[in-house]
Amino acid sequence: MRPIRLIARLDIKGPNLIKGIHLEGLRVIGDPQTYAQRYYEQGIDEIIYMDTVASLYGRNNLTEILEHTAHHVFVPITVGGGVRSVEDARKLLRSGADKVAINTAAIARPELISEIAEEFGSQAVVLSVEAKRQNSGGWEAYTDNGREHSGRDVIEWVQEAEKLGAGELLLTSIDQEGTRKGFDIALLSAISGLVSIPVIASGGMGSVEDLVAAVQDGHADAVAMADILHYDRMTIAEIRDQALAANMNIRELSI
Amino acid sequence: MSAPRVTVLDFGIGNLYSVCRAVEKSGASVELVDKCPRADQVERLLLPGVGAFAKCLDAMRRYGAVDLAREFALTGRPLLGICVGMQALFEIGEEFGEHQGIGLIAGRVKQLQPAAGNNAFKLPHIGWAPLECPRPGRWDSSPLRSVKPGEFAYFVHSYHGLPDDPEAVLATTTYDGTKVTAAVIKENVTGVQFHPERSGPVGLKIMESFVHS
Repeated sequence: MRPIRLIARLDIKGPNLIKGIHLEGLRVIGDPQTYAQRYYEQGIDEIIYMDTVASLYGRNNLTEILEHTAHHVFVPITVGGGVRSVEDARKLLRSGADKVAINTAAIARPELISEIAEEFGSQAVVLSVEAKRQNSGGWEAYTDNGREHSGRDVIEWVQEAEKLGAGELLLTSIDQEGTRKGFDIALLSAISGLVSIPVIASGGMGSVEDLVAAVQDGHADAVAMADILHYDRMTIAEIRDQALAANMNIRELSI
Repeated sequence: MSAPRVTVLDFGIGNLYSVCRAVEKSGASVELVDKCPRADQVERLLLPGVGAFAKCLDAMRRYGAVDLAREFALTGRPLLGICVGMQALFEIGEEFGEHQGIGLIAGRVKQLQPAAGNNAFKLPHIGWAPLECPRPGRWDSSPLRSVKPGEFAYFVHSYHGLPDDPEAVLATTTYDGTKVTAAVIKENVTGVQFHPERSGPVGLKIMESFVHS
């Protein structure tokens, strides 16, 4: 069975770690570095930092937080929010990020995916997709942290992005995000069957059963979690133990 | 006694911030050099590398890293290549055609191939995988000496080095049924395909052993 990665997703607004529901109604949780370091020490496989207002204000504020984090966190770090150019990507990659996640700027100008992939390799480019279920069926890609319609069909968009050189997909369900009601399995399995790059399930994890469903039914390669960790509903050790008991192929911390 | 000193070559490719932080965390002082140093100025040499083999080797050649690595290897002091920096230690790389490497390890760098009957093989190989030891005691006195077989490291790659001499294989892992070279060694020259700076406490143990070897 494929190895699965467990990822802590930290949404950031200004200096704070925040959490919302459906990417809205953001609540302040605390200092992002403290949480990132705690998750690293508890054995998370990767960290995602997402600046939730960067596109809105046309900036990226994460460099400083990132540089501090890199002194204490020695697992891969993905950073997204407000990446609009190769230079933005370079700045983040030089400050301790291993990958950059792009959404809004890539929808506005898809070639940005190729430009960053050619400069730093596909493995450094994560396409972040904010998907919202449509009444007519299918999903629409949203931008600006779930605020704006793009008019793009998710199924079509991820295939284009893979061709352009995206190395990984961070697939966030706006409908499920912050609800603790499980991932959008239909979305995951539709996308996993279409692309050969790894798919990260994001939005909705309330229990390890949700994780198992994302992997077994949604064919996700990695699972991003936020609420369940930030509100201390489960520790990473508990999540790992239960996932191992459910036969998930994950990193074993002590042998 | 002053702290061990590690020289990290910055030939303009890739993100060296986390490598440098990991070296510091391992108890060494780090020297990130954007101009090629002389071999006698270097105490411990860290050779990073990302991207395609040929592009990386071109950047190394322009910088002077190929000659430096050859000369430095003769001093007997520790050299560590990471990821494409490990692949660069080989004679030939086969990514986008055949290209000359540094040649400190006899053998070639080849694409990972699916095991027989595996039709769903995905590249690149991204993720955590357990380090396997070729035989008991093989890791003694190497930078892997404090690692326990089965401990996990973080990999991002599509190619791996295949040494002519099987004794040069220091560690392997298995990815979706395919045997993967995870680390190679020849005397004072070690290469790791995984990223110790991204492999959590296990990676830091390896960095510490390198720094204190």
